[in-house]
Amino acid sequence: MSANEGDWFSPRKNRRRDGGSWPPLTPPPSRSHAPRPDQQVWPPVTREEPGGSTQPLPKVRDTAPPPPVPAEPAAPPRPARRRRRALLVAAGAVVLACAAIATRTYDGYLFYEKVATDETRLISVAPGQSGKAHGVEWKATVAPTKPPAGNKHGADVAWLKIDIREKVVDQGSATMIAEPGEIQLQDRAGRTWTVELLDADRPTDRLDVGKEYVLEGVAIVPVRVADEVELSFRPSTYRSDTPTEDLFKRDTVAALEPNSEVLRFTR
Amino acid sequence: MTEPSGGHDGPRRPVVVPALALVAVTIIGVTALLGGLEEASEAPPQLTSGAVLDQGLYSTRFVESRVRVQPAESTFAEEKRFLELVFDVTNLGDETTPIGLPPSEPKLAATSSFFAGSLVKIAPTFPEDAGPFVFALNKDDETRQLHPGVTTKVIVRYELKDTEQPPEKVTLDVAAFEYEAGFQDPTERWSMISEEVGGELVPEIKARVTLPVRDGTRA
Amino acid sequence: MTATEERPPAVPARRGRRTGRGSGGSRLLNGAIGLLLVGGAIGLQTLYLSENDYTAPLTYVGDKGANVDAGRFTVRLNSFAVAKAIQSSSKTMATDNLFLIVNASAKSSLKPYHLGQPVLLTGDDRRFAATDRVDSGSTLAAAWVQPDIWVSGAFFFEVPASVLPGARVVFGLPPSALVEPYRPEVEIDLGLDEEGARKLAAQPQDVYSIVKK
Repeated sequence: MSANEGDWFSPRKNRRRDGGSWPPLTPPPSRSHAPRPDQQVWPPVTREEPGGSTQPLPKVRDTAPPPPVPAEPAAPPRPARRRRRALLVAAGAVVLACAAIATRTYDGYLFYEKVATDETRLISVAPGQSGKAHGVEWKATVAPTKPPAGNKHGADVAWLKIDIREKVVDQGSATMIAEPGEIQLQDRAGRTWTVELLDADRPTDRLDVGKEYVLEGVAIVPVRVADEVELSFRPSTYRSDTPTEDLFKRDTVAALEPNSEVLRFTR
Repeated sequence: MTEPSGGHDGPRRPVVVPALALVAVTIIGVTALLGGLEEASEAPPQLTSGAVLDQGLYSTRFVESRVRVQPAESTFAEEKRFLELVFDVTNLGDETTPIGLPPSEPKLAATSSFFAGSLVKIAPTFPEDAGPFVFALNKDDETRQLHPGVTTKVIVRYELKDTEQPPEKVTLDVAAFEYEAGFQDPTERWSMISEEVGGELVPEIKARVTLPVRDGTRA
Repeated sequence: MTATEERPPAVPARRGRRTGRGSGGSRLLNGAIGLLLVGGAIGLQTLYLSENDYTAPLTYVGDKGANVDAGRFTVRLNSFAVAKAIQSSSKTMATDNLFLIVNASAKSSLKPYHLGQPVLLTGDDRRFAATDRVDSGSTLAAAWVQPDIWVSGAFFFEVPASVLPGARVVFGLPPSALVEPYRPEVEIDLGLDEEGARKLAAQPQDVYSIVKK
């Protein structure tokens, strides 16, 4: 058995590549003289992975004894290597498919994040204290109230009265006349319930500096969380002197003060 | 094509396929050079009252055009006169669609996928405050939906001023719809059959409908 | 030209196999495997999701009377009825077809939502929107659907009696400007076969009143 058979285990392209550009350093032994067939020196029979290297090596001189390559061990690696390769390809396919799905999903999520969520800077307000945002002071209380007659909810629903007081302290914020947005109650688990504001008599162009304006609202929450829910809202930065026709222009919207501040009244 | 050597089972020379391919390529090339296979534009068919047109998504009967007097709602209000266009529209699609509105500008005509949007041009034109008001009548009650497989009476109307005389006839340029993927959006949906002319989508006119105005008040 | 170009004629198993592969039987086998792969590829192609499917909502299916949890919200279809007319506070609306009144309850999981107007999905997959003749303020869509608080109300369809067999009601969130794939929706089968639908349609209520007392 000569080492020659090892050649079968090397990919064809390797052989071609070697042969194409690199003439052998020793003349090929002619068949008539050759006492024994050639030996493969390149690619290495045992240690080189297919496609591992393109560097040809000079043939070992004839005088050197051929490296002892046992024929038996040479045979088994083939199926094993093949199986490994198949596994690798399969794993690669799975990974690529997952990556493609993940990319699309993540891209969609990033887009959703960007479009659907507002930037938020949370300001915690201690009980009884007032919180300030955009030159306006806000106070708020949440208190249980009697369910209105004829409502459709049972005893598992608690009715809450929300009382929000707004006082402009900064002259420059007097035109911020809009009611706050995202008025909601949040329990410790992060679930939220909406607050319906009752109609309030508010000026439409300027708020008086230093005067307290009252916003009243009603909310329902499950009785279990009635004592833990905390009120939060996002004060609006809309100014009454913004020309209406400019409201939908990009420049105007960009120039608006960002309303990233959210007040949370702890209990 | 093969050598007529009797019984010789030599490989056949593939002559027919390349020859056919060459002929096909030539024909396609010549056709393309001559401007393609697009139909030569011809005048759309002329229809009148009572005609039915298949608009792809809708099957539409152009019922009539009439002047309708709406009596005063209270002693202080005045009676109103309307020029009404009446259609019987059957939704051939798979889902409920809104009736829509005729295009306010010719430029926007091709963007609608609703029935009234296919009334690409209504001549004569009416002032902006005259309408059009578009709705459907269902047992004398208004709706703005066309349910699938259901025939609905659709009214498009314009208000006539005190002394304004209604036109003798109204001419409609009517487009049609096809179900296909959008231009940039690969989602398939119903859209108006249109072609791009000078960077703008222009609806293809499927029919020109002339409705003589029936004026009960004048007769 | 490498030293490996020449091979002794008699070599091991591999050579034998390769020549064997060239023979008729193996070729047939390879052909069969090729056909199998092509068939598999075509089969997979049929599973390809069109853009419409890709952007379609995630549907949670359930039965009448059961709470169907769609993640963001839970819906229960309590009952349904048909009527020839609906009476509101301002007028009575009649129809040549049928009004289908669906009574449902809903709650949400984390946040307050409004439900959108539902769709009636017929046996042959046509989609009837809820009728616009009944003001949406009189439907369940007007109520806040909030965590752990059940709310109940009605939705109204106007449909030909012929679409009732196999009909399902699909509840979802109202349409939003933001296109979001896999929005949740709940599909509840009314459980009407031909017979049941005929019985139901044969005895409609004359007038269903939505006037609040």
